[in-house]
Amino acid sequence: MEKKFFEKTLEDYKDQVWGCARCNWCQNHWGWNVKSAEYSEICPAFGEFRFFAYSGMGKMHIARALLEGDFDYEDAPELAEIAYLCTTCGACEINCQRLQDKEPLKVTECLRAKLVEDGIGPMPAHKGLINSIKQYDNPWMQPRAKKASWAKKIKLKDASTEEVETLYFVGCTAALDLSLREVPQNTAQIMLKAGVDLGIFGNQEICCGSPVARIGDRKTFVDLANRNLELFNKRGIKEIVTSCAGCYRVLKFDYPEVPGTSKIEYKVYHTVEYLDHLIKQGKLVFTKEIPLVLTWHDPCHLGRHCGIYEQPRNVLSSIPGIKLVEMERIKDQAWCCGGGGGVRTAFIEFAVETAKKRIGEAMKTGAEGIVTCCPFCEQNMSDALAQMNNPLKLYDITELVMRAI
Amino acid sequence: MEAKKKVEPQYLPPEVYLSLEDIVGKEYITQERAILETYSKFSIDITGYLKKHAKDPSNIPACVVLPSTTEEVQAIVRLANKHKIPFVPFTNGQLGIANYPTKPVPTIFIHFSRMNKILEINTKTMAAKIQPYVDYGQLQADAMKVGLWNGGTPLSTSLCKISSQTALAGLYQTSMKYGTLGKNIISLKMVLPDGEILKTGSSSVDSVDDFWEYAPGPDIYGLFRGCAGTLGIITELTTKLHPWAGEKELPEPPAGRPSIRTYREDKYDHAPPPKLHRLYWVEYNDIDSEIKALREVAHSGIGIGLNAAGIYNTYYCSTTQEQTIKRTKENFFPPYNFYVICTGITSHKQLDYADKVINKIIKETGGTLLSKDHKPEVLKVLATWNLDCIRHVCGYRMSRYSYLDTWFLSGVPAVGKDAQEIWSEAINTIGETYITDRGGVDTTPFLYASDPCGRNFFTEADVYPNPIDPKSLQQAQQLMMFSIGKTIGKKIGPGITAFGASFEPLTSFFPEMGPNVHLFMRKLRKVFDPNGVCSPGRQIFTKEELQAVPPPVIEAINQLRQMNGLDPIDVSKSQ
Amino acid sequence: MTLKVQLEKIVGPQNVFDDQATLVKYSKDQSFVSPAKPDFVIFPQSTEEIQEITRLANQTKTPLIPFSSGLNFYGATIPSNSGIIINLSKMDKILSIDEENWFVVVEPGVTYEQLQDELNKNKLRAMIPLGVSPKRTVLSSTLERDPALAAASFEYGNDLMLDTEIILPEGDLFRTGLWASGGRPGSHMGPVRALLYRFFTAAQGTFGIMTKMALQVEYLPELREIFFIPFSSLTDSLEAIKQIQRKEIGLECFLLNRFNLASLFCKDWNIPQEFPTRNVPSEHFKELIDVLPPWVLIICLTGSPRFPEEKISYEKDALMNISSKLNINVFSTIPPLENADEYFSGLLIRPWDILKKFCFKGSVHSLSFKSPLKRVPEFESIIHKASEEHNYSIRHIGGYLLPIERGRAVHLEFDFHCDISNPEEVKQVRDLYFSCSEELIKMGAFFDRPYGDWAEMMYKRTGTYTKKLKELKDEIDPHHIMNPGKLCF
Repeated sequence: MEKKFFEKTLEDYKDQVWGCARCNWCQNHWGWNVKSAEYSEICPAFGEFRFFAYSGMGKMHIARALLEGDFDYEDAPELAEIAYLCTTCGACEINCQRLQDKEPLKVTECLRAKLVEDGIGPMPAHKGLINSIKQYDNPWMQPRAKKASWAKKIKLKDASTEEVETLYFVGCTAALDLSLREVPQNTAQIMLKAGVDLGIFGNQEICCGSPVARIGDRKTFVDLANRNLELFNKRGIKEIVTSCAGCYRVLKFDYPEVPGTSKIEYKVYHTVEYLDHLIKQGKLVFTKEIPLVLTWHDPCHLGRHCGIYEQPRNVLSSIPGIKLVEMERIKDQAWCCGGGGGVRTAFIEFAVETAKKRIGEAMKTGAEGIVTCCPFCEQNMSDALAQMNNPLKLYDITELVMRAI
Repeated sequence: MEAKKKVEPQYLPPEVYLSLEDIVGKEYITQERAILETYSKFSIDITGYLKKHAKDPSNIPACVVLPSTTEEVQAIVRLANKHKIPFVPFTNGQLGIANYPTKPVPTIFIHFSRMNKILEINTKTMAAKIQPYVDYGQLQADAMKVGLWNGGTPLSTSLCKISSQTALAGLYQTSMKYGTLGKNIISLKMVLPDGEILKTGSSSVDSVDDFWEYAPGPDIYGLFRGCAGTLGIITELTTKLHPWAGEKELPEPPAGRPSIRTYREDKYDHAPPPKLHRLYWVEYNDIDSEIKALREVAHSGIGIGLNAAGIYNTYYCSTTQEQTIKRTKENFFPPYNFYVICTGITSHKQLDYADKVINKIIKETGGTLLSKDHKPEVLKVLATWNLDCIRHVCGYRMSRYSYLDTWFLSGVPAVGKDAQEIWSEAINTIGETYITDRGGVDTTPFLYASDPCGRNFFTEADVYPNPIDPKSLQQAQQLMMFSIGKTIGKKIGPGITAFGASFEPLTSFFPEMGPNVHLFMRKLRKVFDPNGVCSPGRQIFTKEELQAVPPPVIEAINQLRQMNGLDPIDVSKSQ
Repeated sequence: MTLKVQLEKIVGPQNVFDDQATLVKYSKDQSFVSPAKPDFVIFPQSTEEIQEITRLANQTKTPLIPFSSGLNFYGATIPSNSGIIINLSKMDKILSIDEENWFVVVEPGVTYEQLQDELNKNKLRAMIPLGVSPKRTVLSSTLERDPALAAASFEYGNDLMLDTEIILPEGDLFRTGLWASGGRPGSHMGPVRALLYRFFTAAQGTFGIMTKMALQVEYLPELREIFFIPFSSLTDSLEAIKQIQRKEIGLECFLLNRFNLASLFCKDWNIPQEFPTRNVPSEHFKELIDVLPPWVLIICLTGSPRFPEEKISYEKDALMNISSKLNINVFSTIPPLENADEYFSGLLIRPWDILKKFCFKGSVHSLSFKSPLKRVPEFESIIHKASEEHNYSIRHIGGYLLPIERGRAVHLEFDFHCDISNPEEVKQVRDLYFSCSEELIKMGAFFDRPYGDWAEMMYKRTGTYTKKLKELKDEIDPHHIMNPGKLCF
């Protein structure tokens, strides 16, 4: 039986790392879709640092050398930094898969796992995050009790005690970041209005494990995954909606890759996916006009990783008055906000610089605002907007939906 | 566990490193071992792979610098000359030209990743001035917005940098109309190996615009083109643009976009061709009819590109290793097939005219057009080319086993038969390394028109050895060497072009080329690179370097010579 | 052994000349370059003989001046410092015509007329520059980068040369292109990726003697249709040229002024046999120059081997489309002439009639340079201004504009005329010619073939390029025996 991803090691990718054809598509926008020289690159880390080591191809080469013992950790003092200056946006992965049938992102993640195992990784800044997860079940050093405080004024079922058709898995960031408070509030209210039988775990919701999965702390991740799966099974959860692109990817595609996991029993949706269903079913009707020109930012973990491209665009174009204009790099070729893969925790400057590039691209469309649906992207881009003193508005898609119903 | 042997690079003297740091800034120079590793194994580079297996450090640079201006490049080059330290200009590393001889010498890699701007698109002279890290796709995208394009992209990938293609091969899918890149360069701004700056073309004259490709009198550009970075470093170049008939952007595949979960679906490759462009796929029963048809199309006054991709479609148009192998085994693609790209630059009626002509030629030459009535399933899969014929993305789609070497022949269309003959002999003598070695070029040679009116066609045999297996690599290398040797030895006519014969150690060991190409090249090197520091040993050895070639290498080449009835070379007497 | 005896041993006594009459004949051409006699004129007949001569010249440090037809009008073969003229006219064989793949291999003495006649028998054609003599050799004209009349098409913009065989200055045999692999020729690309042949172009023989050249030739169309668009000024024509070229209409496309057109159609004049020649007064010429339009754009639509009418038809539609958009008139002749299309139909294949203009004064002094299309009016006004200052009639300037590669650049020729037996006229035109040259070069006109005095004007403006050329010269021709004194050497 084929190994699950979270038990694979670099050794399992030996043929891939030796075979990297160095085609360089891991750093570049898929050629057919390139619309300008300015936006023809795709790898945030190579874009910023300009040495090959920071690209997907770079990790392939480094992994090969490590596997063969060509150098050791003491020879390469910057190795951990190179491995962690990657947002795991997966742009390298999709282009390499399409062309070479190889998986540089998986190699990067295995490389990180190896570094963690050997005590070289993760970055010091990640250690606080891991401790927080271990201690509080969230990466934000917040007491568990705070996790439901956003929902104080909303009547929601408690899924840990009551039967619900749909579990709203809020995600730590949306639940705990005060600046994002409206995201879960809007989401819940929209759902309730559409007649969804919705509940939350509240204080009992634990981190999905996305941050630790991405930075290579597999032990912590597997533990969280098993706890979550146990909880879902215990409560008989059949359907999950989540606000977070990271949670979505993990619940949908990473849990099945945890060793020992059998078939996943629940269906998982991201909010935008669910909203799209509700609109199509006629359960969500827009009555108010929002006269705005907007552009959509595809969160990597939702778009490229999980294939959710059309649903948010459908939602936006069904709101009266909204004119959607596209950036050059979209969908599978979207430029990452810079926040993912533990980068925002360890390398905030790089994260924000990457977001600034995305905002620059959004500005070129002539849009008045940029819309997305991932708390991480929103955190990172709002920092960038503030630093740039940029008047461009940043919306979570639920805010617009809320305004229009 | 047994400790594996480490591979230790040779580093620069600290004072040199510090001086380089002063030139480019601390952020843009490194000797971090992990980063150096990523500059030490290339594409199309069996030698480099074998060096990895042998734990040979000679391909690992001493440091990598990222200059951002011509002046910085000049300062780096001057410093290297002062200390007699070799340097190598570097863009993608898509063509591994392993340094030779194998003696590890600390070498500075100058990577141009920061010099990536299009400086100007001049719609009046139909020209673009660019920095060395600009690729074909970037230039094409910007040019299309103003109704122009660069006349094609290389058959490897549109990511190739135009600067490095100037220094190397530069073939397009559309070379039948636009020629090779060699015919598309207006001027170069070079930092010469000794640090001087030289401009070619009309821009060599201070008072003149940069619009014409010849300088006054003898044309030095011709020497630089194809010199593989040995005679200087391109820091700016001006390339020709041509009228473009399509839209400002290439069309999208109607199926939408893949995700990392769905990439295996063929439908994402199936975009329509650009506006006012049409592709015709034609099948033949035998190579002679195919060659005749290729010539007729090339002479017919229609079309911008003509390409018989043969078995290589199993790579270009398949998304997984399994699919590639399956289609190869099943002969999914008809062995003798080619496409013609037609365009309506003059008007839509030009396309209607091309349609009539192509159908007439098919009738005259006994071919069959792939259509909804004839092999529609094949035609569907070939749709990858609808955009690849304009902007080549899938050229490196070689799946798990890497594309590691190429043997090129060029000449009149019948050169395809020479390729068949030599390649058959090569695989019958040396053996196969991969599934497509047989049933590939020996049956159905890759043939593409590389010159206006198709006076010249290129054909090639590529090898895909298992990179993990040194025996497989060595065997692939032998296949290449055997083919190159046979070509020169037999004097059957076709030349070995882009790779191989005009790189050392072959240049000095095949004085039959030219004849006397090696003597001429050696003079050029002496003039441009008096200290022998610019990519040394790549294009031509100095006499001293020649004497230092290890005896086993000399022996191997001389065996190859003797096998082909040529006298062995006595290095000590070589001029 | 004297040099003469040694030369006689190599090429045979019948092929060595040092009589005064011969030496004087080779000491001058119709240009303003000062005459100078060679020591010998010899006629080798093989590559091997040339190799031996080259080796001998290196031993004796004797200059060698390669020479084929003597129909370079710019002094390229006038010895700067005595030496041996190597007249290659006896090496005049068309070595092969590849009908299937459309290329020929010629020796240096093959003339355009000879090649065109031979090719036409095979339904092929050579692409010939306007204004060459039928006796001009194909090899030297191509080597000197004379732009073919079809240069508007990218395919014939330049670089018609494929493979070459060269004797390097020290006597080494050298081949470029596919030929360098030892087998058959047929491509400029071969085992060496450098475009080495380009280094020998416009070199006036300073880097070696080319002994064979493979050259692209083209299908001889059975059907052609020629159109004429008159313009009242050069400037007025530019937008039309641009639009026509961007739509890739026509194979040949060029512009002639009324002086050149009148010369072409002048019934009193013939192509001279010698240059300079005797002037032939003509009333017909004067009449023509009065009635012809100031400038005429000539466009030739060419049929392909299959459905030629239909090819011409779609190009014609596109041409008419542009003309109606620009509100210009397209004619099938040049008003008021009749049947100009028939005349041009022959001229495009054998474009030497324009040499009739030598009959106007006897000698023609042409400013031949390249420019971007948009700068043409600037350069034209420099010439007009200088002509006025030198009291030279603007009506007596020949004008030729050839778009190259769909108009990215243009080749321009403006010529002045004088009677060399009239010292005053010579002085006037010489002064005009040099002051125009200097001013044009200063303002950015590009003389990519720096003959005679232009060399100094160009090379003083090219710092490193000139320096590197000189270093290459020292290495490749260490004794500077190849046509010394030319270019920057």
